[in-house]
Amino acid sequence: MDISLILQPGAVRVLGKAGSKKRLFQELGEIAAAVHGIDAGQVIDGLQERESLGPTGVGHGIALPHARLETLERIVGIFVRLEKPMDFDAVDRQPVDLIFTLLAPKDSGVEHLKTLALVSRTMRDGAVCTKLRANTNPATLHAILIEASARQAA
Amino acid sequence: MKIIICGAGQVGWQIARQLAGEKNDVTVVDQNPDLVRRASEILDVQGIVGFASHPDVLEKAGARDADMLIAATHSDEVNMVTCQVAHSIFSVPRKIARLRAQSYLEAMHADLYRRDHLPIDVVISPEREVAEAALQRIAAPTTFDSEAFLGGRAQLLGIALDAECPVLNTPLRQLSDLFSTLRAIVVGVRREGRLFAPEPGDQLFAEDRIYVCAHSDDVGRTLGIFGKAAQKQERVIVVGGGNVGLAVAQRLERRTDRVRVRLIERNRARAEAAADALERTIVLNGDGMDSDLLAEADVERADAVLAVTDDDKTNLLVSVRAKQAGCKMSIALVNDPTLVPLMEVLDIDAYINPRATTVSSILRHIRHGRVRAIYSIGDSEAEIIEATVLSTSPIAGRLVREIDFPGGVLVGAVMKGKEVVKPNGDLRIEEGDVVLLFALSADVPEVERLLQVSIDFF
Repeated sequence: MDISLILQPGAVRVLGKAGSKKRLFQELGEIAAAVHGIDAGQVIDGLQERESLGPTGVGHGIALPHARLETLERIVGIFVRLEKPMDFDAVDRQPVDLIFTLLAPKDSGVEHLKTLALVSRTMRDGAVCTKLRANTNPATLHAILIEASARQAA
Repeated sequence: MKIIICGAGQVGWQIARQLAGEKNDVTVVDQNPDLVRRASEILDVQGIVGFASHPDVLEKAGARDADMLIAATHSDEVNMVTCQVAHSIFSVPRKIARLRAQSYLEAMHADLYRRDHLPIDVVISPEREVAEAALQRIAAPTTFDSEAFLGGRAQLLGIALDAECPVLNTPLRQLSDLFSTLRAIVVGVRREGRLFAPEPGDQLFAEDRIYVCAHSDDVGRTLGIFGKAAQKQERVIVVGGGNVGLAVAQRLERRTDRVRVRLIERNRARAEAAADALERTIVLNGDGMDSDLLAEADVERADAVLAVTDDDKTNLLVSVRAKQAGCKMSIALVNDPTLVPLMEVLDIDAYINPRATTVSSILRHIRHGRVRAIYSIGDSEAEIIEATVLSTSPIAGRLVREIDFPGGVLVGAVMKGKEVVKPNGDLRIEEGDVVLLFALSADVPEVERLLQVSIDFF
């Protein structure tokens, strides 16, 4: 398992800012619809519902929103870098600018948890985050993430 | 959370006050520029003047970023359309509307308020909730507050202790040993105005006003232990024949144990309408403050007077006068929370605060975790929170004594499956359990954190 299997180059985006979680989730819904053909409304509802049970901001400017969706067939990821960090009720109360979203099928066994753990380990690497924050080209960001996760998986 | 409140009247104002006080980003919309100005001056909110349901007004109020909209204008129809606009144009995820007309409330069961029909997630009806609260007070006449939890399997009781209470000056720890089979826990004590969560070594004194979480089957026993014998309410006087008074009288008529109800209403037309709507209740037209009229209503022999006019001060004075004339118990409807401390001084036995019930039903949708019910205590000084324990939450799988609860928090009851158990330090909280927690307002954020799932919840 590595991130290249779930993260397509088209699903890596750089956005200026998101005014609120709600707007961010709407953006994520639209990206999911454009890249993976998933219903945007379902994505937005799923992410919002999960977020209401407990925020997914894990600290150090990183958020890992996730949801399980009825109609999905495999796990997909979306990565967004915000140029202007946003408030995310994160555990350390710091604003968030690196957002790795995971969407998984309802019946994915433990696969979704393994993927979340891998993404979490990858994003916990300070050097990786520094690189991600220093670049604005989506293709470069994609390459950084793939390379970093391959190292984690190895 | 970003919240838009439409309507800065009594209900909207109180909701705005509460939500802004909890550091939410609140915007108030009202047609009346004076009200909007006053709201933005006194409360920590932004104000927009305009017609609530107009898309351009909602856009200005920030509807695109809003997580919740509360439509509490005086018009049911405006509230409904506001929710529809918020849903269809601005995708506001949570929409709450205040509806008053009985006919709209009855439509609730007919699937009208659904996303694909009329998208309202929560309908609040202060009048109906007040009538409900009034009936609860009459049903439990020896408590000053009462509310059902855990699907009716547990009851919160507010009990004012007097010198006759048999368990004064005894540490609570000792009470648990003395009454080991009693499924009740003292979760809050108000002493000389200050509310706190008692510790096992604390004792109770006369004049304390305590909050107890009790198993429904043990309510009678609990009241007995704290010196309150069960009483029957056979003669009730209701002052004020508005929506609330009428609803209460109607519900009392429907009760199987025959209650004799007298309703006093000042407005002639309204008194006549009430007389038509009621069967056995005797309706008297006149001022509830009038001693002669109260005497005619047989106040001397009345078990309870319920003052529910639209004026707080009238309700207080009617209650005092009725008590003075020999009525055993008085219950007053009070909108202004700052009047609550006067109750004790005026010897009014119980009060109903419409704001508390309304705010409670809204707070449930603001808190993180899977919160099933919230009841706000006093002037929003504490909350009773009923929540389902989710896997990965910091309390799941741990013993009560291992959980790092803040000092102002107590576990009142735990429901495992359908069984309500009395919590003690050795009880293990498991995923799927429903917990009933008492939390002082300052400790609510920490309780929320304890109920939240961790990142692994996927």
